[in-house]
Amino acid sequence: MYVGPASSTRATCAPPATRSLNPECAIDRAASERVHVCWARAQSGDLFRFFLYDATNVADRSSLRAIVGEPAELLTWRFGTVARGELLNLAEAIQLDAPPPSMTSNPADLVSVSHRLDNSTTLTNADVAKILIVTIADYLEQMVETNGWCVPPRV
Amino acid sequence: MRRRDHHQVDQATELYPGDGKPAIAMHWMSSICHAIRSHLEVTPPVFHGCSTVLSRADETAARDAYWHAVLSEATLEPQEMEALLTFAAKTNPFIAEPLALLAQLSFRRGEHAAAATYAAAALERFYPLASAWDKRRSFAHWVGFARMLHLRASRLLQGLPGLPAASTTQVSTFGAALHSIPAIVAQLP
Repeated sequence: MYVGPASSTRATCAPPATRSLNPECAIDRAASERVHVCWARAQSGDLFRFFLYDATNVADRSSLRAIVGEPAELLTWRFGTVARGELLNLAEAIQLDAPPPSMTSNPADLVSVSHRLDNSTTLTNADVAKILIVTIADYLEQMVETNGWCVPPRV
Repeated sequence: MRRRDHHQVDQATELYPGDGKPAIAMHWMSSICHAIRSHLEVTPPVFHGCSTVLSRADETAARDAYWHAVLSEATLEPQEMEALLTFAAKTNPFIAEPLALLAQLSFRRGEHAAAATYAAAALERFYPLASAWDKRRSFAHWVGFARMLHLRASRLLQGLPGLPAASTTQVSTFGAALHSIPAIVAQLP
């Protein structure tokens, strides 16, 4: 799933709504999504059991920052350390099919969320949206019955 | 309690890798996507640009119809399979695989215009998702299958041989004409 125009490769791709049957842009989107998800997983987890970079280690965070840049590193750190199930009541949406609440309109409005290292933290609406869209892309790639996002409750 | 994820738990209750049955998740994905869309830098094409929310009931009904069709090929009549796949494609507008298989069923019957239409429709669903829903085959496999069906159906519709670029010098052991892969790829949709 194409999740954003963060790379020069994606900037050359046709608009997402293209009706072209040529797969190049679709493949590019898939690759871009996997890159996002891969880095998002780097400092997990809130759910994911493994990590590549230690989210509590300054040197590890610095190493990742040198590769992906400061904004992306901060986003991946948050992705792996906040309780994503609280964001827009994601856990209830998954478990109970409950519709998510409406977000406030200002992208800079802050949302409080539990944090596995800092007890709690705040995220902007824009960051909440980024974390949730990568969460969707992440699960689309592993969406088979033998994965257990629904049973037992994991979000 | 079922413990199904083979890496996240020490004692998974189901054998790896399972049968590949699609999970039920698009209902919450589409509702969350819809809820966050105004705060995304780029609205992704998935779920009609985050504008359509799929109900859990529709997602489940579509998945179950599809799964019944693909697992029961030996006992279902083609018309029954077509009805199940049509229902799946209509009930869940985000999944491409039922359309790809409807293209194959049409192609089998010699209905090449319908086959090409279904194959094109499948590709138009594959690309926004950029991931296979039926993960028994990869995204690239499914896209390749649909593209080849589109090519063959379109060519037959024009009165051409189903595959282009037949070799004039080579045949297989069984006498079938050999075809250049690069030449075929050049003509794919």
